[in-house]
Amino acid sequence: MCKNEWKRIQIMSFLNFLGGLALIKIIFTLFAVFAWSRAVIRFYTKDLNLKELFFWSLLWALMIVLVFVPGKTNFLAKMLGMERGNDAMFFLGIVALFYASYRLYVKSNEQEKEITRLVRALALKNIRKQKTVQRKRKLV
Amino acid sequence: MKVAIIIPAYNEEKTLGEVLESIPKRFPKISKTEIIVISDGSRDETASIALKSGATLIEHDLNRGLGGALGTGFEYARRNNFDAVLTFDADGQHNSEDIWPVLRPIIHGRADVVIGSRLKNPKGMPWFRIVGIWGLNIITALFYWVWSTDSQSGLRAFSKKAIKNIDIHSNKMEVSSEFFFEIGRKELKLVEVPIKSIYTDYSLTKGVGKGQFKHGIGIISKLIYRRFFTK
Repeated sequence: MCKNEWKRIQIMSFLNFLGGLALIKIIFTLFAVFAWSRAVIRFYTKDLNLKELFFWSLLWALMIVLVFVPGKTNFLAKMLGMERGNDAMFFLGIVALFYASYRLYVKSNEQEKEITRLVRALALKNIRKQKTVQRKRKLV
Repeated sequence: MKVAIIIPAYNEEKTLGEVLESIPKRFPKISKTEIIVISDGSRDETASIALKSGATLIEHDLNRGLGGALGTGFEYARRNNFDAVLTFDADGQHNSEDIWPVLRPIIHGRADVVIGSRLKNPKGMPWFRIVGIWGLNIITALFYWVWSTDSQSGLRAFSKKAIKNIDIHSNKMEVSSEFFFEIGRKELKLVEVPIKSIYTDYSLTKGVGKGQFKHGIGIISKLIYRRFFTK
């Protein structure tokens, strides 16, 4: 095999490999690496502790593995009574998003209530009355 | 007997002076009437107008909405041991002649909560407001199992028992419906009396009305939250 032929085979196999990579897989991997890097930065700024860093690292690593290993979500689909793993992932994703937005709604409502309590406490400490006018009214 | 007249006001300098002036100072069987203006984060002359008229002024530093303001008024009434509370709008839509008919069932011990209903005599009320209020009446009844012909009325009176038992969670306009949740839960005796409303271009820009569909959706979502997700 001549040197040129060997090079051609190498290039072709690389292109084959790229062809097997759907664009979504690349984007998702980049996103997962970016998200994980954020977790690492937050660990160094001490916003996350070691346990939390471990949790996020495991989660994002698992996500990347799930994207690359074929057929891995089929068992989930079977459990949920669906045909395709992708459908199961979408379904679970939507459920998770609904839950997250519900939690946010509850949290914002509770914070609104807290603000009202604070504003009320301050207002009731500074009640103002126009004494002169009241005196005049009594005289009348 | 001590009565607190609570007037929640947010930037109401145009109408507040006239409203305060129109409220009678004396009522039969009532030894003391205190007018309390809750200025809910107003940025205009609302506070100084209230003070000049001789009312007690409670000022919120931030705007919290109708529910937040009424909650503050109720807290003041509880702390100062008032026997009855009357709520009155600052936008000039209520007729001060209706105060006594609304207050009377409380003073005579015939009710715990009295609602001044605009829909018992809806003459002159714009159609879109009638539709909006009926819609919210039905929704209030579905969620809280208490029927009212005017669940959104701002002219209401409460007995001492009601002042003590009503626990306001809402911040905004949904408080009007929340009162019925409390009436149902705490088994308070409800009476409705007809009142007349004064509709001006100014008062029509406030409350539930035309072009406020989004506002109505907001109220409904808060009612669902209050009914099913809070204690």
